[in-house]
Amino acid sequence: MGILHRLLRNGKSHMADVERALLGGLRLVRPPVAVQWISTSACELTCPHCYSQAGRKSRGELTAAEAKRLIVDELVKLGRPTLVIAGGEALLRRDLPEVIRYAHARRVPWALHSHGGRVEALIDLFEKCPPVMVAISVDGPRDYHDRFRGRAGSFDAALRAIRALKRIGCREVVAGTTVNRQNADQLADLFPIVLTSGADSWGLHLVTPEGRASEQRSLLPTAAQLRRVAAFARRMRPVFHIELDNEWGSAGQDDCFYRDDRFVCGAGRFSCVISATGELMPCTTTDPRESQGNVRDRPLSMLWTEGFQRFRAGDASIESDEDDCWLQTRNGCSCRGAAFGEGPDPAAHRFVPITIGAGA
Amino acid sequence: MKWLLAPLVWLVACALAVALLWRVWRGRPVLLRGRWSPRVLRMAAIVVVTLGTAFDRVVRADPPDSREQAESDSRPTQFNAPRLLNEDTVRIWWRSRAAGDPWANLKRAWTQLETGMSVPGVASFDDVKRASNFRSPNLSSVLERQFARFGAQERIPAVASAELNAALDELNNLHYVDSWMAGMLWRETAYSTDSRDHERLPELFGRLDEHIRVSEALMRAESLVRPEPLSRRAWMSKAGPSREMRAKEQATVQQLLDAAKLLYMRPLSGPWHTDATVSLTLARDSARPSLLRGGGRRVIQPGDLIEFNRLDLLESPPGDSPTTFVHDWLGQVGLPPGQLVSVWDLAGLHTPAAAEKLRTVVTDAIRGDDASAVRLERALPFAHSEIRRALEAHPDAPGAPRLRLILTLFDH
Repeated sequence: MGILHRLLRNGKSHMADVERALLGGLRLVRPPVAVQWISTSACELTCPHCYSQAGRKSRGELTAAEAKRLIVDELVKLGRPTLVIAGGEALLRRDLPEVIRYAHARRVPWALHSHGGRVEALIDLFEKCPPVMVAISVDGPRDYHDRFRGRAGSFDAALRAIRALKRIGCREVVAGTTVNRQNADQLADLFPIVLTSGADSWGLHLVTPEGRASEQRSLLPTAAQLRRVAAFARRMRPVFHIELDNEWGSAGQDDCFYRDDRFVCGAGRFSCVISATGELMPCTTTDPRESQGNVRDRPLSMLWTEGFQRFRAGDASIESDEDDCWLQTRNGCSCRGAAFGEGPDPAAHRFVPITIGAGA
Repeated sequence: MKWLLAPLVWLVACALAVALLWRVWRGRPVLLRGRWSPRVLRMAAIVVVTLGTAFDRVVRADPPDSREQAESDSRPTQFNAPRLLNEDTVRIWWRSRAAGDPWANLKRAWTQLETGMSVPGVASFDDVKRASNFRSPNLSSVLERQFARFGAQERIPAVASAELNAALDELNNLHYVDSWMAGMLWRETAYSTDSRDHERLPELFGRLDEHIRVSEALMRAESLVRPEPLSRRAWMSKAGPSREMRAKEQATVQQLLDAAKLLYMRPLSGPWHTDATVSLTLARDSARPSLLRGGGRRVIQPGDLIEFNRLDLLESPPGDSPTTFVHDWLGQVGLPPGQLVSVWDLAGLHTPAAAEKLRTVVTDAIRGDDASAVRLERALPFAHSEIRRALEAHPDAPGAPRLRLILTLFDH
């Protein structure tokens, strides 16, 4: 076993590529690692960067009974990938605890994305059915956060949620910041706040022109901001666990300075999203044309197995480019070049090497 | 019977591979269920596709271009295999990746203190030491001086380069490789005003450069080797780690070390070498100064363009001939004869007209003008002190958050 073991370990990243290509050729599909469920589109905040146009509850949202049968039971069949519950604001759903308890009873690990406003009220639920991860949105310092989210007190509520979750021993609490043109340059001010919040890590997302944000393209960070924020994250990683999230795309060989694991776009490959009404999407896009079918019509495991062929094809399409965020590229705003490349003005930042001889 | 296992597994894998190839001609996608199928499949993939050593390929796959090669070849030979990059360093670095950075609390507290925040339970430097289990005398003395500076009105004297070198020795002897710590020692050199003390800066900057490059090489090595994470459970035994665990760790350390040595040889492109730099052209009629970088020295010829980074030093020749560089925005930069100049000194070497220009742009930037902030970001070695002054006077101005972010890119 020695050589196999060695090969598997040493060449993990390469073998993963080979394996993916081979699986695609053989039409074998690995189960997902994470399935995100947009549990509701209801939300009491009005964040301009919202990817899901959240506000009112959608017509035809999955009921708790449907969520248990069509999602949780199917996840068991798929080998228990992590159920990531998002929204809108997921905790506004009164029947969500019922779904979470059911997932916990069926040993499906779950995680949550929330603005944090109702975490304290439901802290017993978190204690009895511990999530593997909770991400709480923190958009900037207090004034900015409250103004941006349209509700005074939402910043304090988010910090209280982080502390409450750590108090009960939640395994990983992430402070999540969606970087946009307005807050990109405030991250140095936000950093000490995140440090004292009690969060285990800081996830830096990027605004994506989907949902409500599609009408707010002026919120997209500039190329110079992307480079600045990436440079800031790289410098601060020795101090705190900061991760550049999927929307950034791959930094290539430099990925190790920005995130724990090499970037691979998971859309349709090892993750997917179920919309509030049950449509299976590759990721958080709200474009109905990307739906692979509805979990009400066909089982999730079947949709996963037979859908997403473009993402697994390994051809030259943007869906197959696993080194970049598909969601960003489909909207024409790929970020990796600006963030990790030479930036908007290469001449200003290019390193001009100079030859130095020993003792010359 | 153990010896039978390997050929048997290979046999099974080969059979499976044939079966999988047969699947190519079948139709519908099939979901892989069960715990073992992906692993068995992966073995089959290896049999079918490759038996090459992936790691070796990774390192060789991306040869440096000729420009990088030239720089790599010309690097002083004593840095090709730094003493710091040894088995002990790698082992301790690797263990801290599994168990957590032992000085994480210290670094977090420091970051908060630097931004003017109070840290709960930290009223004195002793509190910091207690909270972070920090017992290194030379490093402590540097940090204590810095702690005294937080919020102090009076001038706190600089730590001498000799002490900083001793603190770096301590860091290296502890085999603690960390770019943040190296940056902290570099920041302390900002306060040095004694010209005799400057004489030891080349040694210090060269060693800091080495330390940072070792840190980056280890990070890259980890991402290439991708070793299995160390299990913490194994270390909990009263008998210490098992023989198997020790062997596993030793193998990982050796792989990381080999990879890091190869990567160290390649020119790095980290922020210390590429960011917060400034382009300077040596004037045609100037004396010929030397550029000291990474332990090496090179005489600059008139007309040469250099990208001066934060760990570089310039040494002007003694005598009456002035040493003059030209910066494309701020104009002439004159170096005093016979002196060593670090990035901290640059801000005082431009002309009064340039200083005025800089002040105007900083004023515009702190009011929120985008173009001015961009301009400052490209000239940080000249602009950082003026930016600090402006931020102190107007911490809540509209452009202040951005300038604070930009300063972070200079200071770290």
